[in-house]
Amino acid sequence: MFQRLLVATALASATFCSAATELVIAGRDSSYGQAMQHIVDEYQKAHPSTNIKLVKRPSKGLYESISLSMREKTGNYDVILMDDTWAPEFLSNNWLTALPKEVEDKDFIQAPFDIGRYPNANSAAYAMPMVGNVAMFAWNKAVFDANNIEKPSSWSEVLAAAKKINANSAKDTNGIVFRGVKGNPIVTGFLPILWGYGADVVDANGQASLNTPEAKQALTAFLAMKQYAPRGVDVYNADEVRDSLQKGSAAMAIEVWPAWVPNLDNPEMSNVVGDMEIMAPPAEVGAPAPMLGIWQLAIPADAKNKTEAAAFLKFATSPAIQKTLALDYGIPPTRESIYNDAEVVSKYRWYPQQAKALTTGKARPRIHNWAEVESILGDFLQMTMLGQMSPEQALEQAQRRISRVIKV
Amino acid sequence: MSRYLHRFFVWSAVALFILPIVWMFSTAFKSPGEIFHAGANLIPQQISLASFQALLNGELPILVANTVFIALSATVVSLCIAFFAAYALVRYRFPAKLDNLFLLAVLVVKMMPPIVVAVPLYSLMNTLGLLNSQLGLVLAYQVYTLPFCIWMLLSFIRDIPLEIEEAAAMDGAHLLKRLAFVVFPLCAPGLVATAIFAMILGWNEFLFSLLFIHTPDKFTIPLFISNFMTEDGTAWGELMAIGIVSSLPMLALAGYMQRYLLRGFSMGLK
Repeated sequence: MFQRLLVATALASATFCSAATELVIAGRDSSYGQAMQHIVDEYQKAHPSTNIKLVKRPSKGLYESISLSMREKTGNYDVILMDDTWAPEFLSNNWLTALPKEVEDKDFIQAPFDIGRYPNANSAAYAMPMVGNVAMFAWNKAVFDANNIEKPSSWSEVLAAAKKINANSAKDTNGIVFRGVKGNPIVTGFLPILWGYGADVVDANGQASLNTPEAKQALTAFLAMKQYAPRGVDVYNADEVRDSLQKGSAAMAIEVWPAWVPNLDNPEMSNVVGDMEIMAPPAEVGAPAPMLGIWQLAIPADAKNKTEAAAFLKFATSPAIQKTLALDYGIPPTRESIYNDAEVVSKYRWYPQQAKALTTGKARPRIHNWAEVESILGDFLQMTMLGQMSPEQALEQAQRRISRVIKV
Repeated sequence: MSRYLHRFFVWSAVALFILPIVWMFSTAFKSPGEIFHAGANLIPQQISLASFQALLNGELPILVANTVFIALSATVVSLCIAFFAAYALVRYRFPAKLDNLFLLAVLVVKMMPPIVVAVPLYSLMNTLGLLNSQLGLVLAYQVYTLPFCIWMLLSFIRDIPLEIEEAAAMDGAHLLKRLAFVVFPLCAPGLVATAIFAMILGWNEFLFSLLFIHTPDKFTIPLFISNFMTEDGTAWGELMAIGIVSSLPMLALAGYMQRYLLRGFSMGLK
């Protein structure tokens, strides 16, 4: 009798323990949130005993929430979704767990996968690429053809094309559009041009490198584009850029992200079906350097359920899930095989270009406080854009301020 | 002429304040198609409840209940502490002007950007095991509500004539009795006015609930509202609808307490 009771107790506690397996995931809102919800639902079907909680945060709140949690070692989250620019801070503070070798797969495009390795591209992986975001350049082929302009391959050609289109087109059609809101939007709009001129915010030694002739050329070109952009472009953000392209009121966009473009060929939402082309941004010198904006999945060092978290990461980045996310949620994949999938390519005709851009993509500077640096640069860029200071003054002052705060 | 000018300015000011509210109601009752494709018309072409229906996903009542509980608890805690603090600051003399120093410190805390106090508070809550709990959030909200309540009650208590209290003391009423039967009733309109404003502060708080709560069933209304403004775009219809729904409890409370509120204001302005 006593033996039976003992066995029953053991079984009951084992059942309780297995039922208590819990996975808390910190994710984002918007389409990323819907995509993550899909992954969670599918994982739940495959692992009914796991209790999964998905916490959806706005992008900004997500950073504060997960960094505070990991700093204080609360163990609140087992899986986190993070922007690749946050990784240097998280990794140097030892806040993330090294992933088992089994999660690696040759099918992942190398550049997005390697930015999850630490301390260098040959080291262990700490994060897996879930969203293959890369900044692309958009141009309206129909408008270009109507104006007898060739596809632009340098920023000077972009400027010349914008000028010609503005001169030849109706009043409500503009040559170019970009995000002019201060902070992250204007900086991510400017970076492709800065890189295209061979300059950068930070050099190889981690020092601010904005006060250079190349950076000045890049900023002058960027400012010159404003005269061919819609009125009020200084306050344009993603919504306005997307609307301008879809309505056909802008012929080019310096920077578009994959999540903005799925509706360009949707006749219910777009006036430019089949007209827009998406490609890697032009370069004034050297080869194009498309900006990576990878969203990665990682496991905090203080996670309570690391084994199951690793299994979730593998599941969330599997080919089947990536294909569904691309087709149903417009989430850009990070696997080569999905970019070559006929069904996916037939829905997004620019995917081959996007895959090429991901392969040659460049991550934003790997410094600990990129958000702070970006905010400083964004302030000065907008002041120049509004004519409150010259490009030289803006770059010199941004250089000085960034040098003071930069943490490598 | 001057009368017409006066009227013109009054109605312009009224229109300035009312227009955003009218806009909110108008957008909330438009169909999704009309919001995006029609011009900036104030009156919906066809009344649609689609934006309100989109909110009814089962979460909303829980979120409203959470927010009511947290904002109400934070207000009660603040009022209790602030009432005694304000009384002591008004009626007692402290050495080396410590009372003024204290009030200044309270004001400094109130003026600090919330993110500055959020990090040490997070650490404290983690140590006390109060993260992801409603009690933790109620205590964290004191950073906003307590300084506000102390400063507001200060003027109300200052307006109570000392002679009334002295008369009660001569009749044998000790401090707690005087507070309960003299100061509290005289201060009631001020307490109500302060409570409403403290409640609004707690109702609208976003940052602490974002950082300290990580279980969706404990979220508050402001966190829910933030879901409608994303990188993919702004869901204007739903945003305006939740704007109306989330304002209603506060409007009802303020409406119910209006007479106390007006008396509170008139006392505070004396």
